[in-house]
Amino acid sequence: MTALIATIKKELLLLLRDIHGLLLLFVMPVAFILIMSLALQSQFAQNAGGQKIAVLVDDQARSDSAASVIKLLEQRDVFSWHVTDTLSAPEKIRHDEAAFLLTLQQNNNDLHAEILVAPATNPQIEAIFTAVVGEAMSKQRIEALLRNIKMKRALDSDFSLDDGIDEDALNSNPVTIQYSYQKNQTTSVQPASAQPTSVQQSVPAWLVFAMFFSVVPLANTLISERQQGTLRRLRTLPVPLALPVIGKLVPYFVINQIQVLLMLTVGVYLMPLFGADSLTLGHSLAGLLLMSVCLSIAALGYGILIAVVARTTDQATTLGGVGNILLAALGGIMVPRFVMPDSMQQIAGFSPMAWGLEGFLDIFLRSGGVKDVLPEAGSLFLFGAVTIALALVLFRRNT
Amino acid sequence: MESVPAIAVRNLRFHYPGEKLPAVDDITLSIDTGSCFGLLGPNGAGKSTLLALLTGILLPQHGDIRINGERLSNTRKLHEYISLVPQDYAFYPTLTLQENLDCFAGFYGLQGAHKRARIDFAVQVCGLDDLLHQRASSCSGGVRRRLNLALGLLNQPELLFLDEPTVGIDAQSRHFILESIAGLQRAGMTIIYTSHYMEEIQSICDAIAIIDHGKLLVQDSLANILARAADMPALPARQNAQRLEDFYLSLTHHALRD
Repeated sequence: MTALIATIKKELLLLLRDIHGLLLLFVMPVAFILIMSLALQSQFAQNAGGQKIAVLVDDQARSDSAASVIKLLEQRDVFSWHVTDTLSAPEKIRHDEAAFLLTLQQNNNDLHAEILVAPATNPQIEAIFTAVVGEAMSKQRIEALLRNIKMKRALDSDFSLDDGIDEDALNSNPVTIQYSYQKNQTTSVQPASAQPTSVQQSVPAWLVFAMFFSVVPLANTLISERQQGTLRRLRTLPVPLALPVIGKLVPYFVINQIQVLLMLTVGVYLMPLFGADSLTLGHSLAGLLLMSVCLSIAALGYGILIAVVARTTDQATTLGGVGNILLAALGGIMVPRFVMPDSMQQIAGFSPMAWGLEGFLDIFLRSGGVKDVLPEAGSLFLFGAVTIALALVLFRRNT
Repeated sequence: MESVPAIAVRNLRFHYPGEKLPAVDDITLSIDTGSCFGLLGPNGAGKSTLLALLTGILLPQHGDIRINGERLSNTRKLHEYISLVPQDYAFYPTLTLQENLDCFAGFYGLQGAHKRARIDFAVQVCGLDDLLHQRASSCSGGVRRRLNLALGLLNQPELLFLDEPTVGIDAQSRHFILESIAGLQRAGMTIIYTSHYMEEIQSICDAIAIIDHGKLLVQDSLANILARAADMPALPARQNAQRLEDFYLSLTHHALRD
């Protein structure tokens, strides 16, 4: 234990005297957050404002009345209307790929609308949508009724309104609502399609990036120890062979947690001073801690693996730096995932940085909790555990 | 009753994977307790590999190493009473001398008063008292060499392995280090010393081994080797003080090694 404490103390001292390392870990991400949040503020605002609520329309009626209703609905441009006839439509709703499925059915002369509501759909949006559909259906009924009256009058000069109107049909509710989930079941996470503001995107994105950048100082110290012969000397000391590796993980874990605190503080308190939004932290401290710990384990695993594999500090800087930039470009750090085409979004899912960012966005943007970030946190932990184990095996083999 | 040697090596062999020839090839030697033993050989002769084997960094592929009569098996235990001072400045340049000493004392598991006493001993032997708050990177080569040695003394080892501990320093520092080593030997420490400086070996060692191409060419007391060197035909313009070097070159030849 004394040896481990000595190693941790040594690593902290080395880092405190590594001005480049400190700039990389703390100043660079703060600068990125400031610049990117402010530069992209209007772009994100436009994007969020222009975001439409997706509705799938399944026209089973295939009648003039149905076509008339769809035409009326399409005038409501707060919704984006997507005609579908696939059987998978209800499945898409269950997975929140659209807010509603509107099915139009013809029963004799009556047109009937059925609405399937997605789990994450906001109840207020649901009320608005129901009203919009109800209005369109009513308009269509009135138009049909007027056409009917005009036609009967033309054929029969003695036609009376009392003779021609089916009041039961007129009074029946033309719209029914169903739910793709159990009603009253609270769903904590907002739709996956919810888009962040520039601050909500930039703070977690560059925080994730900064945590992975611990690879550079971490690798440099291990490689310097190897090049200076210190590792060889440590082999003749009564300490475990893995001490130089394990001893680095603890202080850099602490450094990562300080990065989290600093970046969140910047997001919450500093950004508003520059006229940007304040970062909203969500409601789950436990979820935030879980993400922070698992992300750090993943970042350190990646860092220690590069440190063990690279032979020189140049190699480590290139391998770690370029690797980080690629993971960031792929993982939605540099380009938000929601602006990527579907195929790129699928590929982005392979980057551990994307797992980290999505986990933070689940908490900050979608008010998620521990349960909601478990998939991302689990993936990060697994990635970290595998890379650390691999690094230890390679370190033992190479030393 | 014959005393047990500090180190007894029998038929030791080590072959690096992918290399044509073994780095250490069937070496048998013995180092007396309390002696200062000089290990000589050209670059690539196998000295570093032999030191790595004797200090437990590498495990022998063939042969037997006994330290104080006990077969070398538990390297963790071995490392409590041996120490290696490598040729490299094997410490942390951005830390101060005091921080380096504290750090390595921690690696040895030293704490409290015990730790302070060991650090004081190392600082005193190596003459570092007034330099403790300087960063190692800003110190002269001589101070760095003394720090390198001081770190190797923190566990007050019974066996001290010194790998070219005076490379690249001025005459004053070299003299100080050699005096310190002689003092440690007088205090009962067994020293294994490698160097390319024959006059250093001649001044502090009482026994010598010369190895080349992984093989032991000779092992004897300094007096016997100097006597054998005296029997050799004198080379032109060579002084008596260079007898050991003449003898060494006669065994390892003049061809450049790197």
